[in-house]
Amino acid sequence: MITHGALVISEASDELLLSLMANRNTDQALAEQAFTEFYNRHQGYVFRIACKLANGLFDDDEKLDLVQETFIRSYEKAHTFKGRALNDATQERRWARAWLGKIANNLLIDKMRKKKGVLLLSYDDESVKREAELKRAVASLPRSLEQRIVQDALEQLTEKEQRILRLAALNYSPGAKELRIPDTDLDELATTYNVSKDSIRQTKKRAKEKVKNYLEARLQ
Amino acid sequence: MNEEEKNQYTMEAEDRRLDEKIYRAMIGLGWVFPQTVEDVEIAEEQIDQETAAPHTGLPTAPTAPTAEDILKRVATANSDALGAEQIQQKQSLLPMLRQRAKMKASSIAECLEVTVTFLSDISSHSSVIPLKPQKEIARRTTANLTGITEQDVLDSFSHNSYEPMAAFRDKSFEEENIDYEKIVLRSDMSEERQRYWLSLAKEE
Repeated sequence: MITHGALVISEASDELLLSLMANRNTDQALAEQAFTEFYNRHQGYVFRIACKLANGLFDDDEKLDLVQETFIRSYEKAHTFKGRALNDATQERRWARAWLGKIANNLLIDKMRKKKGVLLLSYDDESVKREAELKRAVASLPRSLEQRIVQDALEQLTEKEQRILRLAALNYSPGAKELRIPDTDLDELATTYNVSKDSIRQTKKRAKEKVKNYLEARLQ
Repeated sequence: MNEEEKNQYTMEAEDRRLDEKIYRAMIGLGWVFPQTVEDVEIAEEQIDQETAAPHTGLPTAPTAPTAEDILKRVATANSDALGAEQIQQKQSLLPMLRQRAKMKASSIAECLEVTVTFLSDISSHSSVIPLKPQKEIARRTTANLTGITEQDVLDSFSHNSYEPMAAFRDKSFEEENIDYEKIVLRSDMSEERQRYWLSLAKEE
């Protein structure tokens, strides 16, 4: 058990760990202990999501890079974390993971922008096939009916529609006005698919209508 | 609010709800990184279900790095940044101005109302530049280029970039016999400007 004075690092809250990391200029050894504990608590989750998320988009080294960069950024930006004084350990864990998710999502968008042509990578990748098998197995498990129908609807879309909606979702923050594709990404998509920006917007609209119709038909 | 506006408002609200549903479904599918407590809950449940599902053929994942690996990477990045900063601090005038202002030499010269030849010469032969002209360059720089202080400019004068080396010599050439007056006279500046820059040196 790692202790520091009266402080037991393994029992410290995520907020305290991040606050110790933020003060690394005062006590670097303690900051590194705090980082190790924070990393061990959350790396499995981040790693798992990153691997699923990046399948078909990035190779193994790039996935590892995404996880590493997420935690490096969390160490460097620890001072930006705003705790919520939650008494519930589960909620506190989720709050920290949501913060890590924002960091990871921004890094993922940057990587997608830098990696030209990533939007056209083939879905025939072996790992994506395994992921599809996994989803079919999981589909039989209980879940919110509406969410499952929307997921089914998304999987019925064409590859192009899926990619366009996904890029919009990567840039979406819950509570935001709409699923919007930033202009820079719109330009790249238009170039990639050799169509106009309006055509990309129409594809997004059509994809949403398909999801809506699929959902309405199943819920009736 | 008239009927048409009401319909518009209802349609927009429905559209927003659909966007939210699509986004949440993507979280469940693992297409987007969860960014709220509710999203994380969905993702954690999904992970639990996947872990519990038998013979699902989980995608093979590369081995995760350790916390020590990451801390080493942070330390390396910090020492690289420090090295870059030290290199930057040792730059002579013109390279420093080009890097910091992110401008071409001709644009910088224009901003400082001198010629590129003059700027290049005072940068290469900084040891022969009197203090008053140095200060005048520093003053013009801070007035016309952002993010560079007078001290940055004065410091750059202590780094002489004139170190040409012949291919088969183990020592640099002797610095050519040059002084401040020669630099001003070969600067291609107007006679009036040349007089001004020479007068600064005479004030010392």
